[in-house]
Amino acid sequence: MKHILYLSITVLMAVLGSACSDDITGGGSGTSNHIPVVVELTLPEIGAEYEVVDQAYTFTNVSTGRSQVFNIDSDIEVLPGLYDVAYSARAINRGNGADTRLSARTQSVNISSASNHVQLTAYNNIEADDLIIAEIFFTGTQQPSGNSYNGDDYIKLYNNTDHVIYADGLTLFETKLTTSQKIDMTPDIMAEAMTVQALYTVPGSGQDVPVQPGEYLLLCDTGIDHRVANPNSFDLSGADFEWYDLSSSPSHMDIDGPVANLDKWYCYTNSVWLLHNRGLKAFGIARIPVGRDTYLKDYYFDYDYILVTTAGDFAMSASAYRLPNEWISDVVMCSVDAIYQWQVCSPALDSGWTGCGSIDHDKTRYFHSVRRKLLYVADDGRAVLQDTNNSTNDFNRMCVPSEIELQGTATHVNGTPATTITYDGVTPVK
Amino acid sequence: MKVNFNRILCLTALAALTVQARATTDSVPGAAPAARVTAAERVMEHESGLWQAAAPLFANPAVRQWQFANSLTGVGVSYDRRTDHGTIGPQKGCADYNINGGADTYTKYRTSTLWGHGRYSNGRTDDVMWCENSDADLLYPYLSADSIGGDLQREVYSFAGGYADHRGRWAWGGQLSYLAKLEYREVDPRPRNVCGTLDASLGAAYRLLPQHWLSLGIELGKYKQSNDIEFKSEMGSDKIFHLTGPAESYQRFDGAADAARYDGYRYGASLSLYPQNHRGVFAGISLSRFTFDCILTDLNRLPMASLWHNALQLRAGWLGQWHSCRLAVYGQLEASRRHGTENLFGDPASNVYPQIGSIEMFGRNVTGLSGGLSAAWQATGTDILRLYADGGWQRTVTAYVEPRQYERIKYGTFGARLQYDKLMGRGWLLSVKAGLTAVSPGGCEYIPGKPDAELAGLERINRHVYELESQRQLKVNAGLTLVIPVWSGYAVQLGADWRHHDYHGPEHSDTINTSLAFVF
Repeated sequence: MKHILYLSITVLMAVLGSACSDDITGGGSGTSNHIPVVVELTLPEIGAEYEVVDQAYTFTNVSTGRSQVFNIDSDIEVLPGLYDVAYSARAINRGNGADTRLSARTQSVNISSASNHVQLTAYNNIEADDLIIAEIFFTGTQQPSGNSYNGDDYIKLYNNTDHVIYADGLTLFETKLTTSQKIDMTPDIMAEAMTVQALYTVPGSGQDVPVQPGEYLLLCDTGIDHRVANPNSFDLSGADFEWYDLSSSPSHMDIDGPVANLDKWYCYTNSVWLLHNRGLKAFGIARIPVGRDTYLKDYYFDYDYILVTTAGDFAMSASAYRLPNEWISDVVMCSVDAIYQWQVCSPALDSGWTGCGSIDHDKTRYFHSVRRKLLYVADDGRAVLQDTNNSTNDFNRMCVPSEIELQGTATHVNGTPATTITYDGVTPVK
Repeated sequence: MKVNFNRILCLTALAALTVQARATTDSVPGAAPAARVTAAERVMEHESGLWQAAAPLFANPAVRQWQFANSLTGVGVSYDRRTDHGTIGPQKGCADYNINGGADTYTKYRTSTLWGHGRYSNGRTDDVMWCENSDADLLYPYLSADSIGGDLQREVYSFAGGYADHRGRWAWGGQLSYLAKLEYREVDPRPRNVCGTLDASLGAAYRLLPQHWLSLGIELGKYKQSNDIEFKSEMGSDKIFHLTGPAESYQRFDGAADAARYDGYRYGASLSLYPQNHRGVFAGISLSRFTFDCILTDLNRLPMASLWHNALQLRAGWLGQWHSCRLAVYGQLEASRRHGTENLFGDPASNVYPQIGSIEMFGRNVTGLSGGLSAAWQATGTDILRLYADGGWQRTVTAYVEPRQYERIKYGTFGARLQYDKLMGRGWLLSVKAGLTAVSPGGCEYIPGKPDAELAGLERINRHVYELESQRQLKVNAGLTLVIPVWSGYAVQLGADWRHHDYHGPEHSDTINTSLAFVF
């Protein structure tokens, strides 16, 4: 009897002591301790005259979305989980003080007690002396009835330099891969090229389409006054170019407006190309150094991937065009918070992403665009926009589109007009 | 169609229970003490008896046959309303209204005891914030939430039946209960929560001493809730967060899934010693474990998180008599640990997320000690004065691993309640009661998390609720019960209760309950 009493008291004391403890993670899997992480970084060959400074690793927990920044010399310890790991640094030339940015990124690294090594290969950021994408309006507008309206989507390019840039031969493209559905491609060409499905090129012989410093080049879907069909839309008849498609679908015919057409090199659809109106693609511009026919003949490739479904895994194959990374001037990756899964291009081109709306099919996304952030206004009044090849940092999300601001048209399905003009959707023009 | 079927089933069960109980009582005149005891006296025993000191022990169906000496059956309706003034518990809404109807019975027949109930409740909870689930306490912290919220309509159906008997030195019993709940909203966001709780318990007892029974009980339960949220507005929808902590969410799946399912299981065992004649020492210990998985059905039934909740309760006391005063004293110790584990997933392929691990992130530990004294003094044959006094101490620690959030609330309580029962002429009973409980916290601590901007509102609410709970509180209650005999052994029972919970500051909460029942 005494033994039972002692045993009972012991058990009770153990339970009480345990319940009083502030250690809430003592039981269970025991995996809640932080894990030391070893990063193996490979830097590009940058020359002895360069000094690498401001080196930092950013660990972004995919589950929680939270980021932790570690100095390269500090001990890195994180909770187990799936992480996107990024490296950033500046390489400064000791001689002339010029600097370049280095970056690296790897996605979906499973960090656990059994696997705590991360391998990163850093790149010199691709800096092109070319136009940049300043704004993408892919969401479209809504008619007063609430129905969505297509055709008034556009992309604005900008001359962020202090000299004239000619847009002749510049190709606008859209990726085939979507940021909301990851696939394991074979071959994986992402380090060398992008996989694209729409290519439209600015016509010209070399100096026909000048873009002055601080000026925009407006590329739109249909260059007409859309207010005729939708009083909530705006006028695009003054755009610089439109992409026009000869549709084979009688129910989906394109309108050839008064605006000059881009040269259509290729598009996956036989009807009408619209920018993905939830923004699940990457959009970019490139200078393709070969002719259209050569490109279409030599850069088509096949790839395989595994489609994983609840019903089983299926081997799939597909085809697309590849666009070498060194031809690309600028890329902006877009997605939606709730369904974002992966980066569809090399981190050397874009190591972040932007978008409109926080959930899939978010109806609040209409009448909004993504606009590149203002860095500063130069002495000559020219806006200098931020370009670090990281769209997460470089773009303002859910902005009133610049064309709506300039024309004072509807910002909402109820017709509320825009009243403020801004540089970047946030900073007002004084 | 499902609701109509449930309603028909409920009414049928109510009628069956009532008729069965009535038939049982009538068929054995004189067999049970009920025949010699008025309805008023039976109501008094069932509502104010000193058995309450040993209440947890009667969860074991083998012991429940000694809870009351007399049978009582009631068919009635009630209305209850809770109104919060200020932000007190926003995840449970700021007001509750319920209209309830049903039948309850506790019937003795020779050595057997039968009990059960069938109830239907229709109500509404107003202005629920940051929670689109039902049974928020049970599922915390793994709730689906949005920043809009709103009122929730509710229908609840519950049925239970139990039976116990004894022969010689052995006694046994069993109980089965089912509760179905439907909660919904008809404006965006439109949750539709369907909950089912099935519980079964079995008990066996052995007469250890002439009046004392040593009992062993086991219980098993299953819980299920499906939570679907719809948006029908053409103007847009809101983001649904999948909360994982006080102000944390599984950001990867926020907005990606609007439907969740919770599958839970409950296990428990208890050991108790209870005197059949309500005189002497009693003691009981119970252990229980509740586990559930939170599954996002929109993402190919992704098991986002799981939780276990272990609880221990130990109660011991004494029931006795001193001159014309019946006494009960008890002491209780409670402890529970509630831990939540989040599952980790790799890159999806075609919306199938492979699980790559799990990590324990949430915990809540509760420890409590309490004790009480009850005394019922029969001044005359028709006047009974009752005094209840109790006090206790409780410590609750809630924590989230990263980003670290921590909350510790410690408080002591002391309460006293006075009740006066007057048996009047013609078998009337008037019972009035009033009570006061003081809550005095001390040693509380709060370390806020670092929520995203989207969850900052929830964090502000959590901090406010902590500030309320870490300050002194006062609870006051008063009630009145009137039993009016209408026939031999039959009576109408009217009741009204009011409870007031006053927090430090302008926040307070009032609850009223009124009931009308036909008892026999």
